[in-house]
Amino acid sequence: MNRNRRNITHSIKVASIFKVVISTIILAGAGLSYVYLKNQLQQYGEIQRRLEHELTELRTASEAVRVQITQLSSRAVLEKKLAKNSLGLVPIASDQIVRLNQRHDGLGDELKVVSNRGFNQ
Amino acid sequence: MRWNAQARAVTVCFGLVGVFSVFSVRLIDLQIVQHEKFTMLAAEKHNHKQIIYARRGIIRDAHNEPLAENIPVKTVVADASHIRDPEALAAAIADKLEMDPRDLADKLSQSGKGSKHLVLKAEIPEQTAGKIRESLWTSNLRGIYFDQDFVRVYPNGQMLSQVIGFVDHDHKGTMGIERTMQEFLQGTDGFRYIETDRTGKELVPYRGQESPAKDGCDVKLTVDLGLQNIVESELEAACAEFKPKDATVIMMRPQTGEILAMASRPCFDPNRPGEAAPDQEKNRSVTDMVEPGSTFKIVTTSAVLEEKLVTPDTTVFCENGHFQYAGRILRDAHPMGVLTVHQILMKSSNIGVAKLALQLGELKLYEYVRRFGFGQRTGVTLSGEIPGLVNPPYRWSKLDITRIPMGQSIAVTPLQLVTAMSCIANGGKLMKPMIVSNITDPDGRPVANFTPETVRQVISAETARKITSALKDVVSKQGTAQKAGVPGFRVAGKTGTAQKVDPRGGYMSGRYVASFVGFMPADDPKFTLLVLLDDPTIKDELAFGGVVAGPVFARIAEKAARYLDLRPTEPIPLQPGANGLKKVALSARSRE
Repeated sequence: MNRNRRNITHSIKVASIFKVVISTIILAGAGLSYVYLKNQLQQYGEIQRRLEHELTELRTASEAVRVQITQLSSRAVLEKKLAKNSLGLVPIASDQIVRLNQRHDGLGDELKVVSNRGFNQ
Repeated sequence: MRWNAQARAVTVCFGLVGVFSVFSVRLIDLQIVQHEKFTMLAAEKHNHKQIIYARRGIIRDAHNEPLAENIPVKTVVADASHIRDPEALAAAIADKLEMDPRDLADKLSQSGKGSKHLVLKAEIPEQTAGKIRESLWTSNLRGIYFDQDFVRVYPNGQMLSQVIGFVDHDHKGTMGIERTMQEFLQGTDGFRYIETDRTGKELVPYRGQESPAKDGCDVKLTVDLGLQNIVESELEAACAEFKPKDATVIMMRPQTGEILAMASRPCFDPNRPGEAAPDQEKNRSVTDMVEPGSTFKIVTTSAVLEEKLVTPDTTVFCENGHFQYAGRILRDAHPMGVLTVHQILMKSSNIGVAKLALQLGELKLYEYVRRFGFGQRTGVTLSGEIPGLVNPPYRWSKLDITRIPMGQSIAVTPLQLVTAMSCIANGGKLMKPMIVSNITDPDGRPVANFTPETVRQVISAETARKITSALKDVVSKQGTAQKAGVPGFRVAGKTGTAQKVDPRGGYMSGRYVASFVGFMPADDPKFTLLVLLDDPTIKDELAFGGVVAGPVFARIAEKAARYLDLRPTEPIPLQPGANGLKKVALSARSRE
């Protein structure tokens, strides 16, 4: 009697539904998280690729500019420019150079009042 | 059986089972049976090995001024599998690549038939690559990619070209320092395995094995570009004046063997190696040999003094310019009577030095020739060095004992000659010539340091001093190289005027190799300098080393002294000023 009555009972099995719902949520959550994380990984990968590319381009541009500076400041180019602009620079003759010897006895090191008056006469 | 609901359900079920079974079989076939095949196909299409190029090392001078650099450039590559509209693509980039749009469109259309990747143009500047990228972006086109590459550039053009050398299309050094230091300069390329999507874009999360590139080491030379510039400009002027077949100048620091400057003519621009003739590419300092002429007299004189067979004051009769030996007559440029050993060197007497050699003997002369480094490679790190030509005594003719002392029947490289003179300047100690100072890694950490290397003590310091004394008088009014004098300094040196060897035998009439090799200041040498002009265009009576090469030596030495800020050791001769008045000349001695 009891057994038959129990069989025809249409009571809602809350616990079972709850288990299914939770399991589904967990599975769905895990699935969505996986997709989300995969997507994030992809996005960060893309950002990384872009930044690496930018870094390489900047390094390359910097290298190109550095070499350009080297070329423009090379002796060959400077000599050409000097000749082209004819600045009129003349080498100083050997007899026009006066060498001042440093005294080793310590004398003459102190500051002295000097005058340039008559220097150009 | 009645076609009731149950039967229909069973049929549908069997149908579904059948369909899914077919799917399953196909899936098993794809995933398991043909797994390898499809993995390979996918990898071939989407996996690539990306090369990360190593930067070639920089070559610098003694003051870290760059001599060889790398300019980054791009190689334009078309990927046929990504090109949808070849005409539109060609129209967008043809002008930037300086190509005809129709030719380019044809090329792009054909590209899928052979190789998937097609190189459109190499060595395009970074700016052009940027413009092409922009153009593709705005036109929403794809299929064009850029590979990183570099072009080797030499900022100083022709200067030091034969010493530095150049690289080929594979970035391998083909001559000069580029070749000898290839192992250090080249670096090691890195790689990275990448996976791309269907548009060719890298999928970073699926990156595979990666090995970073190892950049090449930087090589620092002993060459001082300031001195090199002086040498090159004076050599150019000398070539314009005398129009020689070729010419060589080498400057060396005698105490260490460091090469401070080295130049040859004709030369070439290493930025355009394709335009250079083989003759222009030769570094004559090490690849050519010449009969040294009278500059070689320092060897014989050093030998007899070192062996104490004579003293500088020992007299020798120079036969009044006419000496018969082994059936042949040996002559002096000017008839001379009795000369001391000192004067033999000073006045460059062929007969005098031949008699000294006869006194020395064949074996001893040969021994000293070899001890001075002739007949063997110096070991300098330059490509193509030859040992010169020194025959052993058993191959000498009877005449050779009188010809070798005056620099005939023997062939030496200009580098050997300047090294031998440096030996005299360095108190008889022969140094190994060096041109590479050190090698550093890209972070500046030392990889190798080259230190001066003594080869041997050839003659005693005392003998070297005696020879120097005679060489100082060579550059005097009584000597053969008055024009090699430098105001304010004592110069020691030796002239050489060698008749050119005729390939058909004998010597060519009226064609000479004029040279001067010396050091300065004579008593405390800061540099040894060789000036050698092969076949200068000048009147026969003026074709002497002292007249042709001597003044070139003087001009270079004077400018070098100024550049090195050398203190004058002698009174500087008075020169008329611009206003016609004599200016006061101050010597170091008078100021102290």
